[in-house]
Amino acid sequence: MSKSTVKIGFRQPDGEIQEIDAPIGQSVMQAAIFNNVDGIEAECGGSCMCATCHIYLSDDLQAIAGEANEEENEMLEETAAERRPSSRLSCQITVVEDMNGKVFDVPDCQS
Amino acid sequence: MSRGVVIVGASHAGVQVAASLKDLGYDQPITLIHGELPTPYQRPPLSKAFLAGQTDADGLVLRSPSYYGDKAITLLSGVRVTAISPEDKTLSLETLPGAPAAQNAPTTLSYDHLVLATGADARTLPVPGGDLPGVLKLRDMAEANALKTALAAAESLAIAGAGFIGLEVAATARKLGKTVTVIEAQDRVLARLFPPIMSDFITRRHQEAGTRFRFNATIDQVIEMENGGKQISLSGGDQITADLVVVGIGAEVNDTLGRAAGLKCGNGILVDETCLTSNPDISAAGDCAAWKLLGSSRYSRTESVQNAVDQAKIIAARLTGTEIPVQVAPWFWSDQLDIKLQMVGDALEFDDIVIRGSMEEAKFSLLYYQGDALVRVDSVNRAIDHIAARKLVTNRTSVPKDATADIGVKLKNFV
Ligand SMILES: Cc1cc2nc3c(=O)[nH]c(=O)nc-3n(C[C@H](O)[C@H](O)[C@H](O)COP(=O)(O)OP(=O)(O)OC[C@H]3O[C@@H](n4cnc5c(N)ncnc54)[C@H](O)[C@@H]3O)c2cc1C
Ligand code: FES
Repeated sequence: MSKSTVKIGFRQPDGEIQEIDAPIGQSVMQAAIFNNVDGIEAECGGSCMCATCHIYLSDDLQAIAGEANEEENEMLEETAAERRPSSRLSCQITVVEDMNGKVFDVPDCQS
Repeated sequence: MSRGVVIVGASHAGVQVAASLKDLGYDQPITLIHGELPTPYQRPPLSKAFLAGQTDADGLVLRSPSYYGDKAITLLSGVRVTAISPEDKTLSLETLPGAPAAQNAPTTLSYDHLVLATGADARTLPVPGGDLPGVLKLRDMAEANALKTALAAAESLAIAGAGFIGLEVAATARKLGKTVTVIEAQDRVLARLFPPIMSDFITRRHQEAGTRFRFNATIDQVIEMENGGKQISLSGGDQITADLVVVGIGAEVNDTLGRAAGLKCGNGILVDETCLTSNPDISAAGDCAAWKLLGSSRYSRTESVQNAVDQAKIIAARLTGTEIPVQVAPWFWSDQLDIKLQMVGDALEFDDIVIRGSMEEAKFSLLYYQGDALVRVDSVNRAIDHIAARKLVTNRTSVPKDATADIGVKLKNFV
């Protein structure tokens, strides 16, 4: 496990932002769960099976996180909240150094 | 003062009851009793990523250790409930050795409402030698740790049972380069759950990965050899040896507390469609609870995370007077080798199966029909089918068979 962390934020639908220390190399979902971020259910524990770890990425985060693969895209077809072009499953995104200071948006529901 | 809700068992079902109660604004005390140490964790990775060394125990926590305190949920870790006395609505507790002493765990506890989420235990191999060291089960973190350590030192393993746990352990062990033999009493893998066409597909993949199978064979006895390895006698007289034996022959429901408290039980604690037991002050959820699935008149248990979580949400909704979520068709997943398996629906009663996609390329779904109604869908590397199938199967939707066989037509169109 990597020891270094970056600061990332999660913006709730009401606009409130929670900033956390996310370990580089972990999934964004794991970092969120470990830091009590509300609104990320992650029922399948990161197996890309449940689509309850849905988040929205800003343009710059999309550039950093890269593209969803086919499997993730298929799961994204059925998110409980609106699917947008910026939708991703947070369990499929790895925390990297360039994410420092960036903010993810949490959707209004997961199931 | 209100005694609030007390939850026995802090795994997928128990933790979700507490979390959902909080989410729905429940403002009375919540006590969550975790019969293990230290923090409630996820079970599915125990046979997959955790065993393979891809994630450690910290990566398995269901919620962060600080979650419970932050949400004002009293988490008693390392505390087991030994008895329920339904008349005066109290529990007797015992603290495990090694539990944090500072916790000052009480020996009795009162409840307004009790939730049993006591789950199941792995079945022990019922033969001479079935309890030797080096004959291991896999259900909880302690067992997973023991298995992981033993696996690192072993070169070969014999697995009793070609169910999900056995096959997932086989896949993980092959990935680690171990010699693997799976011993199965039936003539194929997952025989209770799948038709032969799916069993055969899964078997072939495992064989290609190097796993050997002994079908129609049961273990009569296990003997410890001088070098610490195990000699395994099979029905029919064959002997095989392995450094380690892993037992994956099913789970035994943990309904002892409920039974002793006089709750109606069958194979598990019987609950209604809102997960209420025969006692109006006690609910049950998850692997320990038996209810009637949609369209069925029989009580049955579903051993899956989805079932545990959905039932937990139903209980929390009832207790807070919120709209109760409707029951959906049960779904389950398993990861083995390059097979990402997703299943929805229970009945193995069907008139017809439609194959959608390519079995050769390991990208297909099997659609099970009763008449024109879709009653179950098993998908391999076809998440897109699975997600649509959850709704189609819940509603037992009529879908033309030639349309579903055509991979160009999205199942979603029929939702
Ligand atoms: C290795 C493995 C792999 C799995 N893989 C998958 C998978 O891929 N997909 C899937 O959907 N499901 C999978 N499952 C099944 C899934 O984990 C279970 O369905 C789920 O854990 C059930 O949750 P539960 O809360 O009902 O019970 P459990 O997880 O069994 O938890 C019950 C808890 O109650 C505690 N308890 C019992 N009695 C007492 C008492 N008297 N006092 C205090 N505490 C008590 C136990 O110690 C335990 O912690 C897997 C299970 C295992 C073991
Ligand atoms: S946690 Fe289930 S899909 Fe991400």
